[in-house]
Amino acid sequence: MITCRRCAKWAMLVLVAAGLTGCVSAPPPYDYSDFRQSPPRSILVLPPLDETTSVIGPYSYLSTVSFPIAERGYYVFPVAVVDQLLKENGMPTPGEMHQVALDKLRESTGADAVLYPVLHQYGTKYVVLSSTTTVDVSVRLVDTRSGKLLWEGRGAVAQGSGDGGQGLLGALVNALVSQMLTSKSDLGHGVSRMANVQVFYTKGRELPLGPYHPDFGKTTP
Amino acid sequence: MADPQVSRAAYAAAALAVALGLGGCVAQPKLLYGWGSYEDIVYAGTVKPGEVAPDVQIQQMEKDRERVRAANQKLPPGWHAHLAFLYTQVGQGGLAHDELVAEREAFPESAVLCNTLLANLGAKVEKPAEKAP
Repeated sequence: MITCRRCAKWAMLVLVAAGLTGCVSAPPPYDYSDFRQSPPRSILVLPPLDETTSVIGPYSYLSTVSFPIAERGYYVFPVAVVDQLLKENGMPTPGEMHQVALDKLRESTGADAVLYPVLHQYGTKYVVLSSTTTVDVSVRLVDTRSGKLLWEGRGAVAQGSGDGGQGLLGALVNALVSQMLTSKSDLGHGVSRMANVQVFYTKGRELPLGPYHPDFGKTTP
Repeated sequence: MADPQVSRAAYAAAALAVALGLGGCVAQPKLLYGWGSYEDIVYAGTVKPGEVAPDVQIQQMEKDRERVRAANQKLPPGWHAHLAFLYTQVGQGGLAHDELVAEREAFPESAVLCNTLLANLGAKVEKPAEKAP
């Protein structure tokens, strides 16, 4: 009897699951053909365009993005140095930097590709005793020779104050915050790193491995 | 306070493990670089400029350099160029020059940018060698 009930339950679960997958279409596999045609070695990251009301969001996010790209195996240009160079050349804001012609960027830096981030949400909302920190960011990787979109990704993470100290990731992010160099009150900084895991590592649409990675060329994509 | 070098590496490895769906079951993946506090230094310089003196940032990066070397790791892309940027801010043109050369040697992809920055440096700072009569 018990076994049969279990069978019935399993059967129902399978039906529900099948029904759900029937309703929600699986995302189409990411098309890497343009990426494959001109895989970059070096990536220039510009400061994000800002769709938020956060003052610190864009540059806080910018400071988290070298790590995942370099660990995927690419040369990442020094983000603060590039920012300063563009400012000295008459582009004081990310909006103006995003307008610079690709051949100009290529000429002054030698970058194979430029990463254009857009920050959609950044910050912490407090409701009575709890808070939620949200970071939503999308990135577009563009070839500096052809102007073609090589790859794009998006990550959105909402982290509740209750989750903060619990998960392994949350605990490590909290332990990481160095009060001298960063701001403990800027919770979005740690959440940006989590969003980047989604942006660059989401299976099936991840940034492919670059030439400095030991597994470069061994895996697909 | 936790050692920033260790905690950064631990966090990064954990993030990678989660991303790869490995959870806690498999050994932590090895990082390509020893990051030290590079990204936190970038944060300090861009998010709250003026709050942490460039000298303090330089000291931290020089400490990181020793640790990363001692651990037999490589410094990440952009690291030397960023340190050069800080040395420029405190008027240490010679040290800035050396770091830009180091960046170019470690990562040939940086050659165009480093040459641009070296040329700018030449214009900003008199090099001792060029002072000869």
